[in-house]
Amino acid sequence: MIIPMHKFSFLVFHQDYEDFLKNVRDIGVVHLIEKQDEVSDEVRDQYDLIKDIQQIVKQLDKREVKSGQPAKGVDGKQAFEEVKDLFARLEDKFQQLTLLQKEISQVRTWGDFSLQTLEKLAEEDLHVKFYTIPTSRFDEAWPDEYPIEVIGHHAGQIYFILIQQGEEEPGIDAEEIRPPERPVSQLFHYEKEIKKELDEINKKLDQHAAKSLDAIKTYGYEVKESVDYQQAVENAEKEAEDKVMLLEGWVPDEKKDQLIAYLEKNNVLYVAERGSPEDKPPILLKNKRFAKKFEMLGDLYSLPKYNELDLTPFFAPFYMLFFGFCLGDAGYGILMGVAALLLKKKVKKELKQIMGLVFYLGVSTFLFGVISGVFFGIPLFDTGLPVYSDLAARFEAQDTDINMLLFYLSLMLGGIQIIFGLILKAINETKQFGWKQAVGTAGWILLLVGGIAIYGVSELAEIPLEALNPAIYILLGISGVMILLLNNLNRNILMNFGLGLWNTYNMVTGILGDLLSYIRLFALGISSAILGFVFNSLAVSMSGNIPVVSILIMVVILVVGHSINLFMSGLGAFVHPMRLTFVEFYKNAGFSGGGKHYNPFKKIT
Amino acid sequence: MDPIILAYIGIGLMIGLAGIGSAFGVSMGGNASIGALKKNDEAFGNYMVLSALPGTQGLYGFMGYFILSGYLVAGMSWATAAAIFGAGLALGFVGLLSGIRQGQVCANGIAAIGSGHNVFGNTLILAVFPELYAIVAFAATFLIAGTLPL
Repeated sequence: MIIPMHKFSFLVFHQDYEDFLKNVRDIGVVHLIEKQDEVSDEVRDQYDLIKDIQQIVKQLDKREVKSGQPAKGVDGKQAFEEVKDLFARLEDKFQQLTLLQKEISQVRTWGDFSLQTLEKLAEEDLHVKFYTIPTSRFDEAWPDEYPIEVIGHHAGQIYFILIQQGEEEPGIDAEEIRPPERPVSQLFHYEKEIKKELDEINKKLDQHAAKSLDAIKTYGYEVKESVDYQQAVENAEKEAEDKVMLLEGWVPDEKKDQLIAYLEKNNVLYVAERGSPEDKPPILLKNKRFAKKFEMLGDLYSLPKYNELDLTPFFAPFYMLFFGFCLGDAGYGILMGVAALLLKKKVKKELKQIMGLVFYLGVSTFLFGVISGVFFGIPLFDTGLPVYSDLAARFEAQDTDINMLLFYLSLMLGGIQIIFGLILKAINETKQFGWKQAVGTAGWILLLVGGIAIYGVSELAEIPLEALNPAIYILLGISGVMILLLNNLNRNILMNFGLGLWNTYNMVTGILGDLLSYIRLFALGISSAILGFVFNSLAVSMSGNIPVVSILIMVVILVVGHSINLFMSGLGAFVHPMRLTFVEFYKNAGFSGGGKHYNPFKKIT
Repeated sequence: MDPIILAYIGIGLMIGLAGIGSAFGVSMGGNASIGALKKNDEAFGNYMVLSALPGTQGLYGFMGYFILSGYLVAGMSWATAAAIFGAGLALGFVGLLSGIRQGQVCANGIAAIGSGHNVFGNTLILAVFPELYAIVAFAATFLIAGTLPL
């Protein structure tokens, strides 16, 4: 359900305003209403700073240094600036190193030489030229013909120098290249120095990662807090010639007592009024243990509007069933359930809810695995196990099998969810606009449920449908009037008729499509079962019959195969029921959504 | 011509086209992920899940073969061969195009997440829209197999 909110308006004398804000922040229940459309430059700068800090924290975290004792009394701000500077230098040095190494790889083959000697030779009109040529094109006679000296071989090339006297080109058929600017020994020396510097920087960073990470994190929270505060200051309106500040915010009903106690004690002038949907209060959901775990799924789509029904508890059981239907393997179900229970104790608090969700999904997967008779891809109906062989025989006698039954079950579950959605829509309309606008939806529910009931009676009691014609006409009559004429008692009847027709067109085309959409439950269920079966048979047929090795190969194929299946089918089983929830169910339940999270102004550190 | 030739052409189309569709789809997701990693490397988990989504079509094609493999015997009837060819054609083409299209939706989602938009949930939902038709084709293959005489 959605927690009701109260809108508080505070009037505070400007000199008391800072104290007041600090106290409100300590209480931490007020979701401030933002007045300004644009944030000031100051606030924006602060947000950039927070981003920088988060980036630095992330990079330090990545170094995975065992944090010894986080040193006390580290100044977070100073540490942050130092670390930021160190990272900038690290980047810079790293780039220098890359360039240097590139140069080394080019110069390396020329080995070591002295630039001064080359210059001296040049003064004597002896010019040293550098050449390369592919080994295959190097003429063996050249060393006798020209004054050349082969320096080295590298990657199919011969590197040689030629000493040229005077200006006359020797005309040798090889590619002359630019002489190296620095000899390789000098480059190695630089490389060593840069590496040393890098080591030093890294050492310092590691020290920071061990000692000042917490301080930097805290600094980040402080900045965030000060931005929040800054924004709270900017959100206040100045009244009565800047003497009085007006601040507004939302407080959940169940948390307002502490705030009121503070306000009364300090004689703060305030007005509290019930939240109305027009003011768009922020949304805080509160569900019981089971449904609470599904809130995060609902979050992936949208929070409800303030006056809407929170659909979480209504889609949760369906989602759980659908997931189980799609994955449908008793073995996987047990794996998921056990893994969730084991991990629940170890993971952080935020992940506990997810583990709870995985546990429920595992239970449902197990159940559907039992129903569809699949255990780690083994089709139980074919194994001759006592219960399953009886059932298989009984299905055979009625000329059907478990897959056909699952096919109908998927459609039935779909039908149930659609009608359930329509009922919620009627409740929602009543809640939001009054019962007079819910008559049309009620007509549809009547038509669908009545139609199914009549068909059921005729099938079960073996009465031909023609005999029930009067009941059908009465049903069509009543629901038709409700749908086409009375769908909204607040509008005039002609308008109702037009909109009713349009609505009918949408419903007829929509419901059929929606219902067929649930076939995916069946298809995904058999697809995961078959894929598991495929891996089982691969494991058996491909492992050969070498005594010990075969078993090892078999185990490897089974583990890898079932892991792939669990991941791919699990992903499908996660996503497709979500689509059924958000598209088919939410649409029929008339959900519009668009609520904002309740996010109170509070202390973070 | 032996009927089994037609049946195997159908099987070839089914596995081949559906596999190609998935190969295209997951590559689009993968390419987009690599681009997005440069901007935001925190969300790799999201990228991976979205990139993997179009991988199912290829599996449907392969499983379709598995369902039908029992009927692929010498001396099969023309009716059986035609049914297998039809199923293969349907699953193959739907798998091909839905895999590619799903890959495009996922790639756009990944790019958007990389630029800092929080659209993981929305992309998941939208990305399974095109997949439905591959699922339906797979279900049809399964149902067709159910009607074949052994």
